[in-house]
Amino acid sequence: MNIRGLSLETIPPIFTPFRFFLSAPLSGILAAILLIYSGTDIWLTRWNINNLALTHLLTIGFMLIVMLGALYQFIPVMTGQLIPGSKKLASSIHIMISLGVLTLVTGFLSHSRIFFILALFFLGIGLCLFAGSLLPLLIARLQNQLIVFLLRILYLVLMVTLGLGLYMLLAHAVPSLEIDFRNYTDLHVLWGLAGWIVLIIMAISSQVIPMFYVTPEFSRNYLKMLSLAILITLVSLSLYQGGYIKALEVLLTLELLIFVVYTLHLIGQRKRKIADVTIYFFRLSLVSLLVGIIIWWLGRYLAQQTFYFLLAIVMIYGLAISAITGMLHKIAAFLIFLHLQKLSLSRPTAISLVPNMKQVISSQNSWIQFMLFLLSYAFILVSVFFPQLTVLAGVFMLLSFSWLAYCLFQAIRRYQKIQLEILALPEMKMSI
Amino acid sequence: MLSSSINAFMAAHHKQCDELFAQAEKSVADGHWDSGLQEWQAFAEELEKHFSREEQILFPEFEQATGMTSGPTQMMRMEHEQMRALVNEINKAGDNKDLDQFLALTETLMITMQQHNMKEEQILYPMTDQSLTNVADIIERMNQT
Repeated sequence: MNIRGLSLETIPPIFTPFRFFLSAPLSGILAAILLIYSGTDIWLTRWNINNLALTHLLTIGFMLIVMLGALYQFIPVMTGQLIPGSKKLASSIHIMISLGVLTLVTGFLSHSRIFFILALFFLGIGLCLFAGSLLPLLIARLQNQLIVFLLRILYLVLMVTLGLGLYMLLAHAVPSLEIDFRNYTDLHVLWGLAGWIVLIIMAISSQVIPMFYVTPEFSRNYLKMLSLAILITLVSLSLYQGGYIKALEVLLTLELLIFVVYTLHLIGQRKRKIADVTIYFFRLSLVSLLVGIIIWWLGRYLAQQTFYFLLAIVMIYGLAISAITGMLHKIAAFLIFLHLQKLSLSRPTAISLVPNMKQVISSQNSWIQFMLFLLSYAFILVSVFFPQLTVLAGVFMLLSFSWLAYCLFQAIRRYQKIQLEILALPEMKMSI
Repeated sequence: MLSSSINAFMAAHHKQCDELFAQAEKSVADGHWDSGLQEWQAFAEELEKHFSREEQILFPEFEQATGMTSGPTQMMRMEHEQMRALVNEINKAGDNKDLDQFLALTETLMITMQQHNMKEEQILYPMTDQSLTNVADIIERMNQT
């Protein structure tokens, strides 16, 4: 490790992560509007175009976008190095991926080739820029930390998921390229749901749960082996056809079960026991994975479409979006506090202006978020069986994402206002 | 038996501070102000002990060994000041028995502390372990503080 290359001062400008965080709920709002607009039609078949559009608004427009913003913020804290090319490149990547998801969704909805070509262009460039900028950091000789190991696996799994997606997009853009969409979709979904989403939650949990809730640390070797085992199982499931499939599915189930039970067990041992909304989001997320596993094995007795829908809802909305929504409330409030406090250091009288985290996003607003999320999640699940409730489910989903957008936007507005007030105060020269 | 690396020794102390913090916060949240504030003082003292171990012993040793006087250690000293400011505000909230303010500030301190610890454990302590030759002696001196 070359210690001179490392810096503890490397916090990116606040808008680097925030531009991602602010735009993500807007994709969620679009997804909710699409759900309301589609009504009961959404549950006709998993191949329904509205369905594909909705899924990608949530997975790329919300999940991927938040993940990118979070990586820009946390990689420097964890490794002492910024993602190369950070500021300008981050905005280009953000714009490319946002345009990519919008054109992709328009492509699905209009089934027009030109939008697929545009989506391929924007997403392709955005993702290549991102993958390329992260790669040098991930292959560098960093400390042998658990999080770096998990990020490397996460990176691989994400690349496979996105690679499969881009390949199908290419086939949409160039119809002469005849591919077996069903097979590729199944692989894309497998890597996305059991790989990418699970590894995001694993990476966040391993860092956040011991720190914020004072639980015992995750066993380093154990999570390394588990994440590697999941990767190997996914590769095997993708390559083998026939006899081994059942055994591999059992293996994958066991791996996921071990993760859930172990993490819930650690949360149960937490020493910081005050009621905190994020812990409820985390528990909801982990329980969703447990329910997802049950659906995977028992859902085959359900109608095939019902099975697919339940699995997708529980994994995407329940496992991923719940934990991410909870984390966003905490991260956003903290970043605003952090940047304002940093600004006030050279202005001694400014310290009284710096709001604490709960003054940025109040506990009450976070609890409202949890209730709205829970209602929307429950109604979406129930509407699979009672389609007449779909519009209501969509309304709750709209409320939940709008509330998230409101909390984040009012937080950043507050930041801008207090920033100006602090900057107006006289500065004291510091010798640092 | 003391730890063999600065990282292990200091990370264990972070954990110890976290546990004292969690206990105090919980007591106050449950309305047990008397015991809660006593536990809070125990935490604040341990935190101050941690800061002074770094500011008086570890950082000067590191700065001397590497010649890096204005870099990472200076940044960490600044963050210590930020946390001391929060502790002061929490003390005031404790004196006024202002529960909402107390918990809002402890939450803020908790996250600030954790991201500070993360930088130290992931970056600064490994740097000190790598660049210092008298690790055992430094740990021994810090342990006596």
